[in-house]
Amino acid sequence: MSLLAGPVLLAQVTVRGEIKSSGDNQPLVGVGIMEKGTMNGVVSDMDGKYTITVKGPEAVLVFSSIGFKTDEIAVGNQRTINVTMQEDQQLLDEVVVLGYSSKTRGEITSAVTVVSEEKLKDVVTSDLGQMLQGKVAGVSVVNSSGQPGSATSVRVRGTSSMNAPQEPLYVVDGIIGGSYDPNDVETVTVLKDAGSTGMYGAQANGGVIVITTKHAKTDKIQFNFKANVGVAMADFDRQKQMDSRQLYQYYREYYRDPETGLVDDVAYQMAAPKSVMETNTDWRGLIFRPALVQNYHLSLMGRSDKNSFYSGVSYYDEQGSIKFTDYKKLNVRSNNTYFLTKWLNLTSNINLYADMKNEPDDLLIFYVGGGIVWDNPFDENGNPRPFANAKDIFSRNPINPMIGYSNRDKDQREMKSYGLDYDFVVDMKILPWLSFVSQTRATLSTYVFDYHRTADVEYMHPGDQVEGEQTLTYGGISTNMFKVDHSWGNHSFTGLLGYEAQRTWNQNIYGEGKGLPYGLYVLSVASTAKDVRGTKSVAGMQSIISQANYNYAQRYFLTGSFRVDQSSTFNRDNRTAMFPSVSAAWVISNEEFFDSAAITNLKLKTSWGRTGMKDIGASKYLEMFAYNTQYDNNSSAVATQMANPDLKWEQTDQFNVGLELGITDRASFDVNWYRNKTNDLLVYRDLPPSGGFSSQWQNLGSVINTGFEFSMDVTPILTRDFRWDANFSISYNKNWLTGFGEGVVITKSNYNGLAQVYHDDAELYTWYMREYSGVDPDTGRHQWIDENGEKTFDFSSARFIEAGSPLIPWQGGVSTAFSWKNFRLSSSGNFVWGNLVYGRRRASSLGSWVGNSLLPSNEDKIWRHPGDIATIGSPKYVPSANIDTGGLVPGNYFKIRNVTLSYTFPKSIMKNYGLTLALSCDNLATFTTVWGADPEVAFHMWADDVLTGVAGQIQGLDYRYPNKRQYIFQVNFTF
Amino acid sequence: MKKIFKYFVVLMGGALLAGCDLDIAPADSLTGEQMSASPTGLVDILNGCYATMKDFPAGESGENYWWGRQYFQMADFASDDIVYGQKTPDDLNMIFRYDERAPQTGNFRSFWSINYKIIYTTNVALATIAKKEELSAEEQYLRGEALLIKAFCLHTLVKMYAKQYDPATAATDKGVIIRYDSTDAELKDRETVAETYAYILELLKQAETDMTEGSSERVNNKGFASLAAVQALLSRVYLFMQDWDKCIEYSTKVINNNNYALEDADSFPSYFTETFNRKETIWCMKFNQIDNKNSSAVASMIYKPGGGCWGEEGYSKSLLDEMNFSSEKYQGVDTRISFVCDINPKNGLNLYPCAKHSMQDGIPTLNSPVLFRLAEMYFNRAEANAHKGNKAEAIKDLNEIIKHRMDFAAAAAKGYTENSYYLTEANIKTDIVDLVLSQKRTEFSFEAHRLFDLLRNKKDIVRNYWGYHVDYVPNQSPGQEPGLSFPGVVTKYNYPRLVYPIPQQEKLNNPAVTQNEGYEN
Repeated sequence: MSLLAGPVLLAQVTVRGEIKSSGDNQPLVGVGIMEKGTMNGVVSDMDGKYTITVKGPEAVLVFSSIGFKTDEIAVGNQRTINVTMQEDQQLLDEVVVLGYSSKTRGEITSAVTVVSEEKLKDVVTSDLGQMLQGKVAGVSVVNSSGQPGSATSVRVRGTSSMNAPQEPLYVVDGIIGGSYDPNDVETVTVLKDAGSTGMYGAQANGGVIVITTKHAKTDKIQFNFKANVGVAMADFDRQKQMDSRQLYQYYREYYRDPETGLVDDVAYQMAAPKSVMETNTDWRGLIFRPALVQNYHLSLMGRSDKNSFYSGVSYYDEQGSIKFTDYKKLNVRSNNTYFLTKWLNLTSNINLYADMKNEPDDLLIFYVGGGIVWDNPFDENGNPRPFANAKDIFSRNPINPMIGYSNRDKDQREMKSYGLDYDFVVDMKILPWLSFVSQTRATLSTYVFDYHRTADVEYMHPGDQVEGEQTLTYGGISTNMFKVDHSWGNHSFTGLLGYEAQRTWNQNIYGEGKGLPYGLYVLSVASTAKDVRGTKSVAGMQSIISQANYNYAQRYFLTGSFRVDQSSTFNRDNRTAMFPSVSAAWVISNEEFFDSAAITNLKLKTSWGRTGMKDIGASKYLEMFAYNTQYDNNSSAVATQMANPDLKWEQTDQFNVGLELGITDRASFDVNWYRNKTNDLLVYRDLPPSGGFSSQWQNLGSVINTGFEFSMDVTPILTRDFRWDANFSISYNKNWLTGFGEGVVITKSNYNGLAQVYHDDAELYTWYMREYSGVDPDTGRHQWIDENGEKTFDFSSARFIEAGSPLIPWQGGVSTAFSWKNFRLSSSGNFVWGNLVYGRRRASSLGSWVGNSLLPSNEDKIWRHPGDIATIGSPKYVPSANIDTGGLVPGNYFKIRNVTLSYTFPKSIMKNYGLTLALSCDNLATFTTVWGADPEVAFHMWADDVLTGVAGQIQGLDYRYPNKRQYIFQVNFTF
Repeated sequence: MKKIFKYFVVLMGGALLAGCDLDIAPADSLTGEQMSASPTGLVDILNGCYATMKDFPAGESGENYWWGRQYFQMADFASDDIVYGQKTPDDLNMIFRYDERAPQTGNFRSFWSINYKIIYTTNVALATIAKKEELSAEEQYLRGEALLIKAFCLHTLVKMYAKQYDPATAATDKGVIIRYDSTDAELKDRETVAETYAYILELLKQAETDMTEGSSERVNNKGFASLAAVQALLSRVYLFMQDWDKCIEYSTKVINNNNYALEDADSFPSYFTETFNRKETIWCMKFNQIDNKNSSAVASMIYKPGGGCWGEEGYSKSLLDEMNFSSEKYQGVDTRISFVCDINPKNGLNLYPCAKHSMQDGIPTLNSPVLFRLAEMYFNRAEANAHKGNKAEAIKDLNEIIKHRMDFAAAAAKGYTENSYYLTEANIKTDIVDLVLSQKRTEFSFEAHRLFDLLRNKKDIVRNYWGYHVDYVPNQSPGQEPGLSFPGVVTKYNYPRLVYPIPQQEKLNNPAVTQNEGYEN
């Protein structure tokens, strides 16, 4: 196809050839072949072949294609020119989607990280967050549960708020919010500084993650089928269980007289006769299993002059490592763009999903985790027996969790959600330099929860129960903007101006009851204790958005944006906020004076901007008397909230400076330093309770986050057959509070009495607890430090000290891939270093009689005789409430997230087909200082902990669904 | 092109319209202003006070922090009535183990907070009434109800968080913070014990007038406070103040009220399963099945295992002895023994669970806890008379209770006469006040009286039985009960840590408040 026919001259020469890619030696479609200095050009066809007529032997052909290095070849006497294109690692021309706009990588002026599909999808999961783990400098992802379908928590550049949410804003295909299946994702762009997130104003304090789903790139219709099948097993990491004999030895210590050092075996055997060792119940074995994980994805894409389409269907089915738990997801996506006229494109995308999840009863893990190996949950016939009145049970709780577990119908907890997102985008060119873009998304989703328990199930609930809940959420967002794009000489200018409105409606209905007939489990059949709840809510926001970009000769870049947001979250007077940002970059390597063959990219960039946070829930500024209760069936209003008409946005001023360096196509480096100050923190602040309210949302103080990020991508070895790629990233973040005012000290404590303290110069979430001082070698008593700095045996006179924070200062990721011929071996891992987490010392203190069967860590040593240096003291003196600094442990770990070995069948065998087989292991190994099921700590253990402000407590295995290790076999087939 | 432009205009316009209205009111709440405008606002706010007593508190992550659980546990678990049978990191540990109490402890904080929330709510109700120029009979009655609830919460606070009223020191001992009206949120210290009690009396006297002059249909529901509840609280408050004559006066008022009567031996054993329907009840917290607190119920710790209960606590040996539990003469005769459940061995301890907070509608964790019942008036009057030296009067009231609690038919079957159960001046060997306390203990165990009965009368707490209130090791501790010299057995009545600490949250945010003796700030 000739782009523009040149004048016919006698000296014309016709050149033919075939273009291949250096990577797989396969024909390359769509390579642009231009005669240098003219407008004459063609593109290569399906077989990589081209024919071009040039003006003569002096002509020079320029071969270019996205993702490859541009080649220039003089025609001379050649009539056939075959070219092998080298892949371009710099990808400076790669288009990076930034949400409202796109830029080439070279034009970017802020801290942005792009994660490609290939890097993203090494692990098999339904959650994008897990795919990002360890892959983006400055982004921490915590995956604290192995429960199928569980979501991760993601933090960009530290934690900037006490009580407001910290999750990043997700933008799918240019529109805020939306749903997607990870298999349909083409790229993920993480926007980290205000230079790029400023455009999202009040929603962007947690950073922005821009997700772009797939679209066709070539005319060829491409079919892809990918299957992952594997097996997952619970990973208990360093938390092991004792067997009967070990437990018997262990609790014998309970009867040691610390003064004489002698064990009173008579009393011990009265309390626990030796015969208890005849039972050795493997509690974990009773509920855990090797589980099947499957994911199938089918897609079809292609394009023509008139339209471009992509369709994908994904089915994900993960059994839980706990029997009777699972997660299934079906996702269907259809992306269609119609090129109606030269000036009008319409895009119509739809994504549909259905999620189904069976969760364990939240108490199952608690009771199994605390199971005593001496207790037999079954009677002589092998049926689960009640513990409530059994006399031969050591478990503290009179509960046999196996009853509810014996039959799926006895105790079921099912969650389903269904959703639909429909995007409609109009892209209209009004003038060569002016276009109008309107993008609208309608969203509908519903969540359904069903729970029932039969009366014989032994948990700490009396009788049977049925519960049902449904939530319907619907709404939309519409963005309408004018975009300008104009270049003259060395100047180029782009910009946009628009208006955005969003609104979401939510309604919820919940019912419960008791007294179920045999075998029936819906709300209607409940005969007593019926209760109904339900509510409705609306949230809305409108915004004006604008952005301008200017660059001179691809050397100097300047970007500015300005956004005005109005939200229903706040009182009329505080509803409006403005979010400006500016950023600039200087591409030194494009300067004329800069002449280096080795350094292909050298760029200095800086940005300043403001973002905000508003998501604390509706109406937090209002005085409220809530009607969501009753007294003896009479209407009752409870004073739940004190008015605070001054409540306003939490805003972050962000400054970033960075440097990019590219050395040929073999190495690239990106380093950024930032300082973010979040002002007017939304604090759920304690009040003196005697005034009638325990807390109130207020704006108070600031938090500063500062740190750096470094990432590098290198290809140390690159030969015809062998290639080695390596990526490494590391980041450091420091965090402290300021502006609280002199003498203002806020202490927050959670249900367990675990406390953290907030004041000027303290790190967020600074632990505040009694100071522990180890086990006294002489007496075996635990010791603490009192107000005078002296050691004391009296827990209640121990002093409180500030003792570090669970916030992560150092973290990073490393990944590497070796390719040899058609084999590829890759692995990735991540690490965390320098934080302090609180792990309950349940298993490592003999504080109470037969509490559980967990094996203390290798580092633990029991005190037996005077002089013993020990960590576990004599049980005689252990206080019941023992939250102290002895429970703090460094949260350091390094995890090998994934190892994959794959083989791609050569084209010579497969002809037009592509086939890759791969074997992989996710979560292969963990190296850690933490004793417990897993060193990854969810910031907030319970939903309410966000309000109490206490973060960083490790949930013991007795409370959480253990993480998993999985082995996967993958087939990827393309034609 | 034209068509498309039209379409854009519609799109753009639609978006603008949708975004305009950002004034969004919550669907399940009203503001104070709206409450005043609502015709039912006043009643709803008052009902909210009762709901706050029975509900899981909003904004607390622990379900154990609801008001009623603390009302009973903080009173009874600190006394000599209950064995602590399973060491636990739960905050209730700090009730049994005085030395581990701290201003940070969650249950002490939540109970303090909820009482003040209720006080604030009554102040909002009183402010709403104060705005009216003329009160209807209903409104006047409701004002009395608000005043009573406020007085009740203040008295609950002062008996837990301050030293007991001692006429010698009440004028200087710290009482609790008083919030006079709904705008009173200043940072301030506690009033003295004397001032606190004086204010309680002031509230109650106005309440008595209001509820006498006003009227409401609520009087028929024992889930709501009534005139008799005002007088019962006056009787209790005067008893605490050692104003014996006033105590006798108000006790008598309630006893003479024909709306109330003591249960009999045949009805008493089932009394706690439907307190709200019984003639003896003056005021109870009405629980329906949907209000069931399940494993956080008062019963969850003291009732036998299963059905939401752990069965970790039980009757103490000294209480069982006082109840003549092992006596053949009283077994099957004294109906109060019927609440003692079968033995539940745990950790080498013989725990006897208690059924007083269970089995409404047959549910182990459900009942409607009693705040005032008529029997207390007899005991208050008896104790006042005992202190005055009116032995005969005191014994008369005690015998009235005995008469209604003993199954004399069963006694006769065993060969005991009715008279052999009654007290006479001749057969009393102990001090008459001790006798009243002993009888009251038998009657009111697990009903939040015993701790204050001891402390008011300057009696030490003697817990000479095994349990985790002392350093106990199962099966290792010798078979005999611990002697009086065993550490942790005897606690002097004036041991500072018997008074609960002012919660740290109050102290940190209201530096003016004085902490109790024995606690660091």
